[in-house]
Amino acid sequence: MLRSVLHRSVRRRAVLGLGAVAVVALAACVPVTAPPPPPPPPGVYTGLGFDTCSAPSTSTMSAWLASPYRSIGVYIGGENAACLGGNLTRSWVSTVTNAGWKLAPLYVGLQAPCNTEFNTMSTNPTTAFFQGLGAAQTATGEAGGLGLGAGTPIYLDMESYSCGGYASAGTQAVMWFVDGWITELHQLSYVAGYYSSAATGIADQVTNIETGSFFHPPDDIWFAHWNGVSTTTPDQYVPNSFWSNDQRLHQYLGSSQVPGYAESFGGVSLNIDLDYDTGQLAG
Amino acid sequence: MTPLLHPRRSFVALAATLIGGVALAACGGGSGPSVASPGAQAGQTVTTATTTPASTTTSVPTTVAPTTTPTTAVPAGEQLVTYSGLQFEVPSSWPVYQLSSDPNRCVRFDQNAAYLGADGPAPKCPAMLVGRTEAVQVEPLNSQSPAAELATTPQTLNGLAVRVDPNAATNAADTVVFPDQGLVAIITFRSNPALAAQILASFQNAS
Repeated sequence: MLRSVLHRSVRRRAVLGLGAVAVVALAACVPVTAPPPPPPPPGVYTGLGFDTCSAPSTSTMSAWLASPYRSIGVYIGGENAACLGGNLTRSWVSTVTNAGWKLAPLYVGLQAPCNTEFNTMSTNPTTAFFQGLGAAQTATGEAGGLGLGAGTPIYLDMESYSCGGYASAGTQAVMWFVDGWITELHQLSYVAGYYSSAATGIADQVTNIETGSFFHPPDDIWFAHWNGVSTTTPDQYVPNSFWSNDQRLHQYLGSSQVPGYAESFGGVSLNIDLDYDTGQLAG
Repeated sequence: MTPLLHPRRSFVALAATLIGGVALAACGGGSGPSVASPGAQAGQTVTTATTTPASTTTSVPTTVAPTTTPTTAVPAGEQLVTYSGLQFEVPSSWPVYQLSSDPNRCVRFDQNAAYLGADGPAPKCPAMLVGRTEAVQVEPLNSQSPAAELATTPQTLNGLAVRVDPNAATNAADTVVFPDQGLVAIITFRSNPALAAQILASFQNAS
């Protein structure tokens, strides 16, 4: 039908052609907003990684392909994030993941009630649960904006705490908060990760399982145990049979243990923490 | 051999060239003078409410531009910061960092400070900082940044069209996009959200 109409008039075709040229020319004016290619799908990564406070530029990440590391922890947000992304954007995620980097997205939500130097969660169990649930909603929203969709692991950063033992109100609030985090991440089809000190936050998750308590365990754990041993199993705080199916990241060197620790590759120096991973990562 | 164009086709080609040229010129894609985008030449000045020039105080890095005479009354204990066509006030005790001339500076929201510009390529930050306090960063807007994603609610601030984060309270940060200026401001808080609100309320066109 369209073809026959066009054949009726060469002039009309010429006008149409002019219109098309104008449209193409005007389209050239519009800033390039085509979405960057999506990151590769999330999956298990086995190998060395590092963390920085602020996402380095893509050129720095390119230079660091000369390193033995292929994963990087990146803060995507949260009420206690001291570094708010730096160079982190959707195109940054696309560029670095398609260059071969795996990402460990970290969300620094409300912290244990007894850690009063931070924005803290409620000691009321119900409130803490819903705060954790809300954190999951915000984190997945930010992850989605970065092109990290369903199936992506997001690690909740719970800094080490000492609120008075597993049964204390403070520790129980943490457990409820993390349960809300996990519940909502599962509802939104994300992988529920959990970063904490092996001796506190992770140990409480171990206690939860060993005592048959009802809190959902995280899918993957990222435990900070700065023993300098670049393995994920064994570890003195985590039974070998727990999170045993490629569900572990181990931060084995922390910058607060070695202040100012830095490495340089490709002529670019970064202050880093060190990880060994056998767990789910993005990209 | 190049075939001769049919007269009608040559007209079409000429018209197409003209239309394309006009269209491109209309959007600044031609050879005419270009206009610098907001933030491209971000200048910044700091004015304190004290009689001591900002450039001689220990809290203000020497990289900032010379002090200018305030055209707005700056409350006691505050300093006026100007960046890329906007001005705002922060406590005079805060350091103000110009990131374009200090690219290794770590933008950390766990210390009171004002940061102007985008993060450098490899900021010298401790690896895993955690924690918040009152601090502010104003930088060129990147529509793909997490901050831009958060600021979704249109508002008007001192006559400026802005978009704000409707969940600022729970995110412990006022995130404000200034679309006309091509800027985004992030004002974090922990124990003193009123200070963050005060800083936010001070944003206006530079006088």
